[in-house]
Amino acid sequence: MIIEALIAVTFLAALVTFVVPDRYAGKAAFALSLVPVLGSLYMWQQYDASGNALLGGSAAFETDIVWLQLGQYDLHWLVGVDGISMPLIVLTTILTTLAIVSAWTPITERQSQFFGLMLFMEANLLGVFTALDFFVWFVFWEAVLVPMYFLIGVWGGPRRKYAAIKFFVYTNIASLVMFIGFISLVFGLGDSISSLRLPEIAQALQAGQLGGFAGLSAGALASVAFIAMFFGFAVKVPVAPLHTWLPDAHVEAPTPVSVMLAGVLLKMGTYALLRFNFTMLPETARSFALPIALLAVASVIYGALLALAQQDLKRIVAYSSVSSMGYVILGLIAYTTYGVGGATFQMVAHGLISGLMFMAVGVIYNTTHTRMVTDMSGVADRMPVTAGIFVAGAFGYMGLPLMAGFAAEFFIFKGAFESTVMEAMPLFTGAAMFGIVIVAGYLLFAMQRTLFGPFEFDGDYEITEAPFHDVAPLAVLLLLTIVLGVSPDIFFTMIQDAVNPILELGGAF
Amino acid sequence: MAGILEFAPAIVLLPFLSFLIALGAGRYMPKGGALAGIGATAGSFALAVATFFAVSGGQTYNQHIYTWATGVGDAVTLDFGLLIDPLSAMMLVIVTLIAFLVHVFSLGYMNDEGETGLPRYYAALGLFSASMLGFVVSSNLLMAFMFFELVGLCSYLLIGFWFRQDGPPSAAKKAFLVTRFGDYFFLIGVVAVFATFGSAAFAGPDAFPVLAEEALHGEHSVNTFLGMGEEAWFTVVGLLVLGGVVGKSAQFPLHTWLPDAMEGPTPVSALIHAATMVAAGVYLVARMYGFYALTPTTLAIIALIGGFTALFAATMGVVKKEIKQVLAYSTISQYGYMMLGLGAGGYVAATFHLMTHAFFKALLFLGAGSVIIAMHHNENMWDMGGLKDKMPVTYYAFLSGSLALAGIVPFAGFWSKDEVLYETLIHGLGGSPILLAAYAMGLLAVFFTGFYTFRMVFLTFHGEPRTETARNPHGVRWNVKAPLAVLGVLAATAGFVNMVPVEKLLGIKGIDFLHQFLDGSFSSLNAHHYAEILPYSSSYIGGEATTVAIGAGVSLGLALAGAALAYVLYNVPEPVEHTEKLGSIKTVLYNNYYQDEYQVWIATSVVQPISRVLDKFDQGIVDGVVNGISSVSLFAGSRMKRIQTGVVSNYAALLTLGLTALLLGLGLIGGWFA
Repeated sequence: MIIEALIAVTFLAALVTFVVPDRYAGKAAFALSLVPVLGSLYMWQQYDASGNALLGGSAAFETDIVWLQLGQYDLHWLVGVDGISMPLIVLTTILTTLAIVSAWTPITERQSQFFGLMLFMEANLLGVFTALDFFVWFVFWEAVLVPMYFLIGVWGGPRRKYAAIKFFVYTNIASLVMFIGFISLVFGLGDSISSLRLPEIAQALQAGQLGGFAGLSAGALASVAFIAMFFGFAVKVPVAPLHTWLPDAHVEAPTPVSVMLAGVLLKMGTYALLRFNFTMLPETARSFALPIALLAVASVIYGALLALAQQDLKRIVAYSSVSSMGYVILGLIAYTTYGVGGATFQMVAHGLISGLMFMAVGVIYNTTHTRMVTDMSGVADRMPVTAGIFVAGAFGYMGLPLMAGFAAEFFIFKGAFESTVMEAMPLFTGAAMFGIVIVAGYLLFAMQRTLFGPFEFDGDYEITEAPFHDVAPLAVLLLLTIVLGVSPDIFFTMIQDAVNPILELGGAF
Repeated sequence: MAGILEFAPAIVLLPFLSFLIALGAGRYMPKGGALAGIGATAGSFALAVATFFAVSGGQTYNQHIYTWATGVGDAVTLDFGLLIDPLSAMMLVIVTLIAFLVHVFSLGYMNDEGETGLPRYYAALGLFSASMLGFVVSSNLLMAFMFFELVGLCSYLLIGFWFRQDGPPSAAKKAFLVTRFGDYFFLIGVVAVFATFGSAAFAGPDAFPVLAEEALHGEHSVNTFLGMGEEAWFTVVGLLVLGGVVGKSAQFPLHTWLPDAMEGPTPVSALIHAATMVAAGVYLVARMYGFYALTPTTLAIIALIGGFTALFAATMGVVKKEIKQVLAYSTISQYGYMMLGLGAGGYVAATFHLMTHAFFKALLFLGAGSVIIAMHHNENMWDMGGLKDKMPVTYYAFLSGSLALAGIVPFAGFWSKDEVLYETLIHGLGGSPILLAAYAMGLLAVFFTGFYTFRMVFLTFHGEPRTETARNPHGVRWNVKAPLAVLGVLAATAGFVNMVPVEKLLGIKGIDFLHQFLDGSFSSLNAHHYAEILPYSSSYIGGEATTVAIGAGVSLGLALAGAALAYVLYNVPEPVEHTEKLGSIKTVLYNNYYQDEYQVWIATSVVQPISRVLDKFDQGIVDGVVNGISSVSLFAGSRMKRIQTGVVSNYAALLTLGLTALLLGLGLIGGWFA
């Protein structure tokens, strides 16, 4: 029942925040958001799952009740947590709380709606990461888009309408394609399943129950479904060349929304790729190893090179997310413990570090009212604490050892290099790893120009150190990044436990 | 002494503690946190010395201390461990001693000069010391890589210490970026070692150099990749790791960051960019020498890079104006000698040179720092002159270091450089023409070394003062003089621990203490073992003693010739540059063979334009397609809208038409008209 309680309490917090007067909304949302944080930490502490929730493992905190009937299928309320979702749940609650605090300064109008939508989004995100029934999962999955649309469209920058609509339409069309892909699998399974519970579907597919559908053989159907679902999720991740909604959304979104977008929403895509494509159709995935590895390398290098060309600090971090998410794809296709486990770990690590970087950019923006690298220099002179954390966060992004990003990237590189899905995996790994040089290039350049050198600033604003509540979330994220980098086992053992069953899957078609 | 090695982790942890103290409370403490750093490094030094004696007594230590990432199922577990053997024990003493002396010196260089930001300085210095010591005691390649990166971060922070100016942040960025380029290959190497051997331990039952040796003998099977045989693959892996070495130890072509790094405070240059961090690359090769010794190609490449860098950097040192620039190129050149020694099979010789160089180069940098204090932070040697009477302690210490650097008997550098060249010569004569080529370059570099070293000494200390500041230099206190005195003595005497030429010429057995010391390690990590697996054989000119005498005589002669030329040209009351005699070479040397230019060109004229073109491509084409699709659907939507006229008769007509078309279609498919 704890999952239901967690989601319900978060919805309730959203409702309460909606009716709190604007001037108290931020503080109220922060206080209320601590409940899900404590809840998720309690879950983490009580966590007792083993194996993969989709592949016969025992999920923690599972509830399975028949909800309603749809034709031949029972729709279940099935929720549960395993080693893949547990870290993401903790990430979601903590990042939401910190994003709420970081919104105190920049959000100055319609606060109760803003903070209410943030909490509403959190509740749906928790649903996405806990639902194990397709119908329930899909409802949450789509519901996340709604608050995000309004958060960008109402509180965003000058081109917010364009960015919000682009985000909504692009990802929604992608969801539609994914939905068609998944449903065609369901039809292909025919009578061998009686519900849309993901474990049942995964195990039926594994048992070779997939038949032909719509004139396609089972193998062809699996391929078509795989491609459709991959496209749908890849937009969300985003994988190049399906990424162009991301920079627009990030640039227009207010900082706390960017934090949630980069920190958690992108992980919905990689999480779903892992749960659906790579768990349900492993043989098909392996047969597509070459194009997927190419897409991964392209995302890493192309995203990083694009980041190098940007002058807007936020665009730099936005494009670098494309690059970092490319590593996740590389890890997933490796089909090794370190590869897939590292990919999952990277979801958390990147969530923390990209959140940190977006927040740091936001804190500088709050003071200078500009994000252009060319508009300022020597800011470290006036904002030493912020600059110090910015530097630490940037090095975290560059993969400094003993910070979470290094652990994730090293796991992925190690897992991808020793992967057996393709003879040439070491070459793809080596190519993708060049991302660690380019990321150092653009972040060091950006820091040299903005933070260091003689202090220069043309605006009319007094540049002073940011208030405590702006800096505190940064410090917390930095601390978490270091803790997770020094001791990745905090999440990495449970992740591996849930990932290993995926690797043992044989071919069914 | 039993059990002293149990305290080895404290050697690393003490400076880390001083980092935390300086970071958290430095601003409330006297001297900005310096005392915590001095106390911590003194403690580490004491423990390191105790460890050194324990290791001399035959103890070694290879312990697991922390599980970083636990592998579940078949996955390997990634560990941190502590490996204390003669090599790491020696390095611990070097690093802790110099870190301690640099902390003391910083009181004079930073505190007495009224610097701000001292807590940041001492915090970074503490973190550096801890990371460097962590690197030294690493028991496996992954842990070594991690601390290797952390020292890189500290180097970045300390080069850019004066961040309010333009130069230091730029130099810091360049240092990190260039070394990162090398570390990229290193990281692939680490991953490849894991993938190949399933372990990256330096010692113990699953030590990867041992597994590699067994694999070459067919006693153990390992994974190789991309269809390569074992030896070819090991060569590739060795060269990948070497990328990090070349970057960190500032070897050609990744040496360009080191001269720029001189933008940092001088004590930092002494500690990080001369004695310790730059040594990390060479140390790494020595640490996994059992692996490199297996692949002749890798050894030959190491020797060639070393010999070439030694010569190349020495020639650039001869025209520099700033005292720290001369020392920077000299550092690059000297690390070239160490690489040459390692590549030529002289494991002990290279390690020996690593030690002596750490002492005399730290000394020279601190001496330069003392001069810079005296000169009110003017580093141009052409503004100095005649300082020897004003600052005798600095002068004699600096002279001791210079004699060591130039390789004049009996100062420390003579013994170690001579042994490097000797090993290269006999192994070259034993049938490796590549080594003979590297030897020739190393030998030629001796002449340039003697020349630029004494050019620096004469311009700085001799002749008449050429400026008002040089006439009335700023005084320095005990905190500057004491470290100089300690290092001055070491630069004069450290070579006596390994007087191989004396042993060979006079037949006195047992004075090659360093050889004996480095043999007292794990059986797979001692000098004896390396000698057995090296692919070299030795050959002599005449007998062994004759070869020793010829080698030492030639290199000493060249060093003296270089010094003599400097004496003639620059030990005059009013020296002039003399560089016009070089003709067009002068321009090339002043511009450092245009090495910086081409690297900057790659960054600004190749990579940046590519990224800008890609950005245009991304916004124009990739996003253009997305927006194009949406415009098409919007356009289609606006056309479709016209059908909805609101006139009922139109709808009725459309309905009838639609129904007819549907029936027609169904009929055609269903074969009604057949």
